[in-house]
Amino acid sequence: MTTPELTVEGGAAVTVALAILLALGIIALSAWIAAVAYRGYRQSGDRSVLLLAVGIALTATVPTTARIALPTAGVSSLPTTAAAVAVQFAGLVAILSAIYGRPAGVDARLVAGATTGSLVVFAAPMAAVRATDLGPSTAMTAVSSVTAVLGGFVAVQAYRGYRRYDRRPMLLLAVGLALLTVGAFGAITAVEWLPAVSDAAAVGTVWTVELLGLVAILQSLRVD
Amino acid sequence: MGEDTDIAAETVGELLEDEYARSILAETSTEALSATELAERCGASSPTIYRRLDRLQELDMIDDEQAIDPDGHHYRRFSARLERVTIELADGGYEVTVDRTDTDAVDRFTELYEGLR
Repeated sequence: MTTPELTVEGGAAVTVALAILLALGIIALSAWIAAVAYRGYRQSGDRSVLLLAVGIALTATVPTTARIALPTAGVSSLPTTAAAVAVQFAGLVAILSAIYGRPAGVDARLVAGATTGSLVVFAAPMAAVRATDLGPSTAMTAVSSVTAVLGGFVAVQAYRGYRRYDRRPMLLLAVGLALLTVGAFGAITAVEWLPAVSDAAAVGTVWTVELLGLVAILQSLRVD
Repeated sequence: MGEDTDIAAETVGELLEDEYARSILAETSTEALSATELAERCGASSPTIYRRLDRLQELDMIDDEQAIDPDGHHYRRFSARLERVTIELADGGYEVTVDRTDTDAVDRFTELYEGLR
């Protein structure tokens, strides 16, 4: 792993140190979740479980890592958000098709549909900003709302699983998914619309919410 | 959800013609049973039961779930998903519709997540 070079404008040294800690925490948790999910799939060998594992990886680990890696590579905030949301969208579609689909599982149509949807989610906000006088902040909020709605729905289904079977992991999964989708949307919206929030505070808020979401999901995969 | 039309009429006919496949569906429609219990109740050998179960699962007419016996061993229990088969003759062809019991998304989500953990 190369050490990410973080530049957070308007931040003091302490803020930068905190941001680096947060970023490393997110990367470590993401890798851990992906590893646990992959092991879970290897043990079961079920294709629907694979679809669920891929869905959770795409919903939780890839977007959070992207929100760190892309800005570090010099990508500005709108394409970063759009990319994170697009990947998360594909992940949520995978989870939904795992839980609503028949055991036959992944077919070409599903993959094509999810990919097309993701590309639209990725391209639409940028196109909208270029074609209209829509501000990047509004576009970011709008695109994040897509996965907030979808993720909120999946989180509610997980919560219902917890209520019905009294399974604590499902509660933690619900909390984690809600934080990563609805929570991230809330954080992005709040920092965009509140006046006088520095870039550092904005990034820190979103990352903190995502870190908490990842902690919840990792716990849900580990508790008995 | 719960129905599809991509099964050929002859596939359904062939399947339901089989005595053991019919018994398996009938027995598992009231309660979930293991392959051993099915072998006893249908008066067939285990390999016969497993072959029918595989075929029934391919057609998604039977569901399985993991269960743990008193000694802590994992085994599978099967339950019928088939509710109704409709064969319609229209426009010079047969149209087969299979209605299945819906395991709802919440059940499936919880079950799959348990599988992942």
